[in-house]
Amino acid sequence: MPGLEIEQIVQMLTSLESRAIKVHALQCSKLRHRRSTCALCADHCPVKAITWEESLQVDPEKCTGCGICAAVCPTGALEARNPTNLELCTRIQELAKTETSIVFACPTYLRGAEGADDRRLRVNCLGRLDESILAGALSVGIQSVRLLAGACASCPHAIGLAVAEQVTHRTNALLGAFGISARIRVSLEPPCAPEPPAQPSAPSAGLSRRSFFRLLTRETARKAAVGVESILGIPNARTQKPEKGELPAALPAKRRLLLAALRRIGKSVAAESPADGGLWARFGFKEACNGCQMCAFFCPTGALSKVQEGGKVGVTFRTSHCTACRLCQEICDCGAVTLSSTVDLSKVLADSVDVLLMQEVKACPWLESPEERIKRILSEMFPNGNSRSGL
Amino acid sequence: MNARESSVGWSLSRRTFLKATGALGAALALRESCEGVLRSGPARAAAAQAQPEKETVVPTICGGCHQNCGMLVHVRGGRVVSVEGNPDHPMNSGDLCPKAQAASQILYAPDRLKYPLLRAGKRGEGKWKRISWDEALDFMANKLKEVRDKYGPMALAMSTAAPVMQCSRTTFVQFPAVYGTPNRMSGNNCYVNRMLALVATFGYRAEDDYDQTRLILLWGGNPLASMRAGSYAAYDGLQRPILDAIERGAKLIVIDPIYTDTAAKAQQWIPIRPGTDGALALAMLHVIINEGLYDRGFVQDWTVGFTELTELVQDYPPEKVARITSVPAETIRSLAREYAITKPALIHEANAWAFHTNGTQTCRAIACLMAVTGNLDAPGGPVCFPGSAGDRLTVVEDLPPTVQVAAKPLGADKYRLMPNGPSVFDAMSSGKPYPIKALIVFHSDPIVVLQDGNRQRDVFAKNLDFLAVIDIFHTPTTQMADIVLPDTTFLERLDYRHHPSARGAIVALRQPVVKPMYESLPGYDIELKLAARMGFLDKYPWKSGEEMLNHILKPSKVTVQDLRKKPVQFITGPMVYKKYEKGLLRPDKKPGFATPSGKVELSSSVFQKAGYDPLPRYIEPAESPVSTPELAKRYPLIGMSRRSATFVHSKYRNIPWLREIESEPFIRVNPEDAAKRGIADGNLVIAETKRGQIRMRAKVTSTVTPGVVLIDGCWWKPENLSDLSWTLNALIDMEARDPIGNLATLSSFLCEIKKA
Amino acid sequence: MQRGFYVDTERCVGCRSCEVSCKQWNALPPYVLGKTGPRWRRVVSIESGTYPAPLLVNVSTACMHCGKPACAAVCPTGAITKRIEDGIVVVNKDKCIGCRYCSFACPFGVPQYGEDGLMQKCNLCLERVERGEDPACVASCPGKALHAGTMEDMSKLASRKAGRKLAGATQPSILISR
Repeated sequence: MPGLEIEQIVQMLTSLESRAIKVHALQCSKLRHRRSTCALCADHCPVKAITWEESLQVDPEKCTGCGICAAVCPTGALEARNPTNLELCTRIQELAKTETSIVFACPTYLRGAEGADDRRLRVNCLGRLDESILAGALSVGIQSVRLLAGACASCPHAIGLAVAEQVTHRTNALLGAFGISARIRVSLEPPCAPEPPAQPSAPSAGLSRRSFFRLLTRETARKAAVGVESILGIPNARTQKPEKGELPAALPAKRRLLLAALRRIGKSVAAESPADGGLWARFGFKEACNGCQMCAFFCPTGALSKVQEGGKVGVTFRTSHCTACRLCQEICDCGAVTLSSTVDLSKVLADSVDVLLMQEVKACPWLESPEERIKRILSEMFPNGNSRSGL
Repeated sequence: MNARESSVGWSLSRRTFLKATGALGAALALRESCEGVLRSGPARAAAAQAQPEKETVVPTICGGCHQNCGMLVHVRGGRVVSVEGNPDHPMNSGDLCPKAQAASQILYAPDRLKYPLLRAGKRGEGKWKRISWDEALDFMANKLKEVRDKYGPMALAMSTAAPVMQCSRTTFVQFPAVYGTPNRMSGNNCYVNRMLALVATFGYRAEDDYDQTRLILLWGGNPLASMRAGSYAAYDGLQRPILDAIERGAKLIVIDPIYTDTAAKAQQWIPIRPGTDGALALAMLHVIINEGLYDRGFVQDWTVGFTELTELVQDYPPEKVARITSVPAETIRSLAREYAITKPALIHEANAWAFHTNGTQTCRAIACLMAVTGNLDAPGGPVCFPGSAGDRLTVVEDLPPTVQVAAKPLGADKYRLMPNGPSVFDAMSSGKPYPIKALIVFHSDPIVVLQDGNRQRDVFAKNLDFLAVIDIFHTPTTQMADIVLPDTTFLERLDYRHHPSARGAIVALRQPVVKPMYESLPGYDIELKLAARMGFLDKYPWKSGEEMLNHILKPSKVTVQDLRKKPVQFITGPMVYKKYEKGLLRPDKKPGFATPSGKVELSSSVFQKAGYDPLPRYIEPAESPVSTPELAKRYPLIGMSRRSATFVHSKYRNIPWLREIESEPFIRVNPEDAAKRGIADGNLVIAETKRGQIRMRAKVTSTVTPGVVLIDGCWWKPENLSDLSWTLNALIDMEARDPIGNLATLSSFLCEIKKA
Repeated sequence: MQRGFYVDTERCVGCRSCEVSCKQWNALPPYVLGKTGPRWRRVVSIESGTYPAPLLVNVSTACMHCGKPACAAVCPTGAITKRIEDGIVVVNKDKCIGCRYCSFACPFGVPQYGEDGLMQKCNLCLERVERGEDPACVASCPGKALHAGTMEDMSKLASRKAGRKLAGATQPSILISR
């Protein structure tokens, strides 16, 4: 990543912040570690507001606030808002009191539909929807979900359809594991009145800067965490202030909503998550591991934490918190991290934590005092014995 | 980091973010940023930001130890930010030891004495009331008048420190003389009996001419670690002269029970039983004289008493001395031959000679060794540099009071050549021949430095009507005081230092770098203010510190004002060798040495006249496996005192950067002795003598001779001033003393250690 | 032109002046009762042998400003960089996130972490070196045992005493002579 520095990533990402997108820059795996190859947001941005060639480039002027980047971001660095996932879920919960099916549609699709149906939930682009919303709907009693896709082929947001289809497929597969047959589908229907998409939403620069600053203070961070928690009932792995020498880690809101939904649905019928699920990964390690624990240090969602037990160092792995971002694998110096795509769903539901002990403390030179370390090396240079005695 | 900062939480990322958000308004173009790179430490950078004033550099001299190295002090906005060695000062040529490097922490130490304090509780309770200088000085003057009226002026004694800085030699010298007392409790701890022996033998205090020598005999000294290559001489570098000599091919032989940092650089290390150096010197003389290896011409022309010395050394054949010293006879022979044959050769005048009850005669024996080989004042030998003690060209090192006290000081009847010192403590504790009722302690910590601090504490509490302590920090001694007055550090005071060197005698200025902190005052100002209240001022030839310094500097013909223009000046020409041939050593300008006979007195007339053995006969230390075998059964180890350049004497145990190097005192013990007692490295151990015990951690190390323990000396706990369990001198007392030097032992006492 | 150090252990007495010099020049926080602060320079005393033939060697060490600094290679944020002009390895505190990756990568235990949790280490007194002065530790060394400069100059100095480069995969820029 030549020339790409943290502060530049922060600046760029932050410039995206607008009424449609909220940025949690520290969650970005790219920012956490320059060796991350993640570029999902850029790969999926339909208007090239985010690009990734030599380095990350952000052009906030181009952003239309479609929210696709937020849907594909595995670590919650980008979050869609207006409405937020939480707001959408709350709305769905309301609807579920009277309805058994819901329909999502984009503004382009809906533009022509005068007196739009209340049940048609408006999202900036279908690609903005993620598993937490779709599974969430089914978890509160909705029987079927339809995503109305119309003129996507001619829409500048075309890629949104592909994302929506993938999300739909994943959600159906996941729910299948819970004994719920596919109830979500993407319908290709002619739009009411196809029109070009909305003008780019103006980023609210002044506000974003200040709100961003506020976000950085511990107090706000904690308040936010508490607020969401009370609604979602899924605690963040690290709501307390990070220790010195730790990066803050937070479970993305969409993951919390998904976990809450799955709990509402209840016990799974399948033991493992669908093979190509892409939502979780099971962490493991090979013998090559030297016990540096950097995987845990950089894990953005708090799935991995450092542990030292019985003279060994290792990590704890909280399956439910893993979002399969694969950062741990990418940054492992020893190539020791293994990630398998299926996970034990009961561990997800129980929020259980596995302890993986990797290396004897003794075998970790960086854990010995720096003094001892250098002394050991230099002692080898000066072997024993003195020939200068007087006796 | 303070609490406020750490409460922000992961301040690292916060700072990253602050920076990033601060730059948000700016263009998003990539920027080659190097701003966060630590060009200098974070605190320094912060200081530069907080005080954008220009940094000025003030040349001055350090006051951490006796060396008084040249120092460049960086000052910003009236605050010292860092110090550097002055590359142009002939003492250190830019070198600085850890103490000097920690100067800013000494100056800005939070625990500095800030105001005059009056005792508010019982002695030792550590309760104080802040008072004004006027109140303090009035109180002090009244107390001193009371003591004088009730007991006479001799009831006052002074306690000042080793001459670490000039001020410790020249402050509170005039005051007691005008008051009418000759009594000083301090001063007999190390160099004075060496000086006595050397001056009695050849009239000057030897400095080492390293740059031209071929053999360096370092005997009981560790100058590489102490960074004091000579007594006071400047060598253009602290360790340079010895290290350069080795590189040049000179041989370095170290005689020491301890494999010291200096021994580690030597070609030969000869371990010896502590306190038997005099015997070794006599055995060497035995070999040198009997084998005819001495300088016949020099001995014939310039010495007296050679016949008597020859007779004496017949009692010390190497085989006999090998049993005394535990140095093999063959080693003694080869050492003696090598020393006698190698020309030029020098023996460094070392601290440890004097630390035993036979110290003065040991120094005499070694002085004879220096003399018979013809090395005295010869190039590469033990020389008298311009400005050395004993050199006629010297400036006044000690300030002789302009008022003479008729009465002889305490101890003058018994210790004719070395009164005062422990004799004053004798009088203080026994009331005989007259009581000591008041003590002024300036720049010194007798409870820690002099023997048996516990007993001193009791005697101070019981027998003193008045104890005043002037210092920069609280010490165990201040705890016993009635009044404590804040002194200035060396960075806040006008002062000077003078050094001998081969290039000529040097005078260097110490200038105040910052204004005195808080209400601290330089010692001479305190003295003058007190003298004014006592009505003594008319007996003072000076009315200010600067006038006092000019008074002292008179023989050098430079003034403080001159030094302000040029802070380091040579006041004499370069070294002239063999001055005894040229009539440059004696006040009467005749050839010869500055002794009564004009010759090197191998048999000392000074000693004879004082009723001492004129010959340096070897006597066992007062305590040793030989002299006190019964005691040695209970206490089989020989205790020695260790000091290091991290601190000087008792100073600076409260300075964090220095405590980081040596965080606590250790008892160093050979693995063999440790194993016998089940002691492992790092174990807490108790060291005990018949007088008391202390507790320290053990360092098990092969650098210590079996049968010997090396104990860090002069320690105290800044964290707990009443706790003397780290203080070595609880193990020793003032009872058994060198009968000539009036010095109690510091480095050969019988002890035992056990796991705590 | 790579800069580095040369330690002449024959002249190093273990006084630790360099340590304090470094701390005071760089204003590093001190010892707090029982706990040492960061020390960018460390004197290692190696004792071996037995009485009457013990051996005591002191080596003053700091950052080795390696030719291939492992710390910089693993640094996730690019906070550690090696200057092209003089090979000095520097840390940008604003970019460091305190992950301690560098501490396990560095074979010599050089990276240290202060109260702020961020990595800090010797920067060869950049400010002084840029002014053409010796780093503080070298300037104050009472034994003139410690030298700093271009590796070419250091090699010349060290060759007189058969000084050797400290071996290591990271190519440390330090010469040591016995």
